[in-house]
Amino acid sequence: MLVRFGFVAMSVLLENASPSRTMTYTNFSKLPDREGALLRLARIAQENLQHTQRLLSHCKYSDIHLYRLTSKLVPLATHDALADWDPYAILADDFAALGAYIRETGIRVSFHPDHFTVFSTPRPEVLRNSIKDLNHHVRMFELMGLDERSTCNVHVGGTYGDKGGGRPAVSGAIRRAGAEDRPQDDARERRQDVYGGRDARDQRGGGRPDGARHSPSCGQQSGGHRA
Amino acid sequence: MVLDIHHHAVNNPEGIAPEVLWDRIQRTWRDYGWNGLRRGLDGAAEGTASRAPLPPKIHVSTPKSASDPRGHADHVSLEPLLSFLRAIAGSTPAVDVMIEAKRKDEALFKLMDDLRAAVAAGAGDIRIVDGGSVEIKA
Repeated sequence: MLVRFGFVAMSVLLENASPSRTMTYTNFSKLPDREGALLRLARIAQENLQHTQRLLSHCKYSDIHLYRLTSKLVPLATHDALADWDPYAILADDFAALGAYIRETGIRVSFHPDHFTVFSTPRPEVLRNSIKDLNHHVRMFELMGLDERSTCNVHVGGTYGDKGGGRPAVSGAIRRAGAEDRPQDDARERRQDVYGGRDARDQRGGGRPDGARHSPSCGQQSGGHRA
Repeated sequence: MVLDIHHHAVNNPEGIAPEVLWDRIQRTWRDYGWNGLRRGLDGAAEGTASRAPLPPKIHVSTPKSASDPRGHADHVSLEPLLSFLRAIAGSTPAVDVMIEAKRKDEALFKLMDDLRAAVAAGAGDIRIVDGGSVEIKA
């Protein structure tokens, strides 16, 4: 049996290679010029993406064949007060470059949205935020041009006092997530270019636990997390 | 389904060993079309498998302390991981192991050092493949 080891998000050995530098919303809102502040966020994200590429290069030269991308590549990406900001268009080239490097090295990458993203939750606002967060992760995979074997691993383990009850709740929640419409956009068209002609299948929805319309898959993880 | 050996250990009132559940977990990777089909990429025909499916992935970490058994320690202990890997080696061609440890890549290199030490101490069923992989012989 071949066993390959991987690590999560950051290196304690490389200097100056944080992939998850951020800006708090408090600091963001203190900046007098909102346009300038948004540019600053984009700048931080670009650096995070460049640092991620350095981390992947470190993996390549250390024979590390799997790596978990940080969920914090884009600061404030899903913050409610920045709903009008479209970081994906601004960062499309940076994500594409990173994705090209990932495909070139063949390193297996994943995202693992944190335990606030949980589809077995009985709380509608937690579910709403979970859908938003999972969409954000899938958008990043799409911008990187990665296929559905790049996965988002999500928690489904909350038992809410009823072990086993979480499972139907999850499949129902994910069906609803899949039924949610997303606007047509460049990223989506780009994905169609890359993957060619799979939309008929995507729109059927299928039973796949990945939000159904999106290319990268979403695995499930057992565990004791609760929302 | 991603098995987390550490979370399973701290949330397992029935006391079921992870290797007992492994066959069912492994099936969640084997039986899905998304895993292994590359739709037209790299010149492969639509819907054909142009390379092997991804191996199942598991998470491994070590409890931070007795008082905080759910937190992640700096590094990962070779046991109980090695026992689990030996238990599934006969039924599993390949497995990917994501290390969740405070010391990140350093924890990975230390685990590889520990595996090299086990080989040096006579563990004949382990072969070091490269800087980040080993083979466990069934």
